[in-house]
Amino acid sequence: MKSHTPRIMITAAGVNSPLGCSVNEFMENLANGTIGIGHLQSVNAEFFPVKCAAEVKEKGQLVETEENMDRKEYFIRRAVKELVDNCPDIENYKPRNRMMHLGAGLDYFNLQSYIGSGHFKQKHWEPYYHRSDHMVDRLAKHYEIRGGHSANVAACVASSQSIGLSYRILSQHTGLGIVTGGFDSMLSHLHYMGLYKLGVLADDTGDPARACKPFDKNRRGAVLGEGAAAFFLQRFDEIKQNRPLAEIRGYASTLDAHEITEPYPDGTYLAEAAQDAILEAQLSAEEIDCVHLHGTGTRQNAPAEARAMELVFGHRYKEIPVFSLKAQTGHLMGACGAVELLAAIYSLQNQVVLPTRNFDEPDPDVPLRVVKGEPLPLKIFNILKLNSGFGGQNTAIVLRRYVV
Amino acid sequence: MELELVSYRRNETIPARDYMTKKKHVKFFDRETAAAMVCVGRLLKGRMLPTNTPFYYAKGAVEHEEYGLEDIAAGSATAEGAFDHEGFIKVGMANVSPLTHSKVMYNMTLSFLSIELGLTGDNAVIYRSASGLLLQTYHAPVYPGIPILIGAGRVNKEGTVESGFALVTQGNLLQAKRARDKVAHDDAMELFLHWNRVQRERGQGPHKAGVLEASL
Repeated sequence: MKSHTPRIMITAAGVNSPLGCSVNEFMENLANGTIGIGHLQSVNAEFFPVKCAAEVKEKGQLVETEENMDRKEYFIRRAVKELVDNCPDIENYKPRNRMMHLGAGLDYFNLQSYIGSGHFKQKHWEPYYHRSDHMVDRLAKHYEIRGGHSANVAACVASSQSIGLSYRILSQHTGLGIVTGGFDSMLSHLHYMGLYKLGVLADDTGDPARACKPFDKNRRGAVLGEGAAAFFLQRFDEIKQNRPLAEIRGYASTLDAHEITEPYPDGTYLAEAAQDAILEAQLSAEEIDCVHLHGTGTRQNAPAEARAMELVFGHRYKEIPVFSLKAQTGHLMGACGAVELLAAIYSLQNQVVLPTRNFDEPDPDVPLRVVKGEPLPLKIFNILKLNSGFGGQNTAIVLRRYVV
Repeated sequence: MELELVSYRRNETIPARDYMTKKKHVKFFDRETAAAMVCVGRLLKGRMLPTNTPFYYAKGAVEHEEYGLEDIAAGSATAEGAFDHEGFIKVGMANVSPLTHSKVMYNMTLSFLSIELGLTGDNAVIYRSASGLLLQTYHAPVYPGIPILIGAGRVNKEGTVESGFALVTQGNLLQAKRARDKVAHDDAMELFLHWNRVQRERGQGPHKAGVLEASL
């Protein structure tokens, strides 16, 4: 590692997720293999053709919110609060030296109230959608973050791109502390059914906990989840009291320029993002110890990721252990990159690759080393985290273990 | 810096097809995406950009009518005007094509443009913010001789859709500090309107591609 390269550290975190509403609870449930997927409870899904979802839970119970409330704003508020409560260093940055960059999902639309109010007859819909950029505005104001803030709305890579931007800013500037991450909930009438109509949701009407099967030969689609995760990023030499969780060593983003609902089948541009991030981390592919994949559970995603892995790792691609969190948390869309990064931090801190839940039967078209059964103890220094999304955007983040 | 702007009134036809090779995608477009396609087409005038050209876009708020909201609502209300859960599924959502969902996914403008232009490089989609768009651009990867494509769109309350695109270098933007400070807290579309006003003051005319002088 070249000494003049600034070290960008993750030094605090907060989370609200289907695996719990604190970092400790999340990590415990992650390790236990808890699956946070069930049947929709926060939405009246009586007539929905599929009803599986991963709703935010705390101590195993659904986190309830007021009817027709935008749940994702509630979750990011709580996640950022947990972060700030565990981040004494944030006070060392003046408000103008604090930034906030968060990935967000689609704006919530309160369809029930729009209709119930009668405003649909006048097509007066504007008061019924809740803009996520305004949510970030409010959060930034609440925490006196005056150095700049933004909402990235790049679908499944929104939070990864926000983390990537924050990393790049800190790589070039000193004296800044950045809150970054993502939040989303598509568990509402319009968005849930909109995704259903695109044909990406698992149609498994059996046990919802078995609905999402990343990389499995019998995978049948994604399950929508919801949640939020926030991280505090700062330069290593500016840390005073915070405790480093991991180091971000590289980031890259690419586009497939292919189709909006299918990844580039050869995985070319996902591989390119991975290679660029590894290069930026001043590593070779051989130095990546494991990969946390996007792993949605759809038919198309897995082979594309396998092809990308082959391009990046060559013959080693069948040997390097991989993991997908989505069987446990569902697909958190705009928040998935951030919440899944927390799982990558777990791997680094505990030196283990967890089994991907519901992976029972390997697919010959996806010859990846998906850990099954028991956690795999492994010396892990560097993790590659990949995400990709509708529209063909890809991200890659290289995380390095922090050792005192 | 090269700059282009377009705007179209509510019922005005947006000739996106005229600027596309992959015309089949037009059916997926919301008006903002259609306007963006025209704007980029006029900016590039048939030129191809290097595939690794960084591309950042600031999305405006979604026009929910484009989602088929009227049809969904019509099928989701009881005779008394209450929300009908069964009607929402069996009539409301059945009234709209799956294709309309692409009109409310915020990264679709960037995605469709990347497909049309063959862009595979660094990218981001920011919600509305001028400062967010500029931050992405300032911190873009630098490739010698390759500019950065940035754009923004907006649909106004009365239904006019606006789109602005520019090919910039980081040097242009560092020298545009005055513009950044002026519009940093605004909608990203204001950034392009500001740059266009500067061009007009210099006699380069509105809505015409031109070179923004480095001394801005």
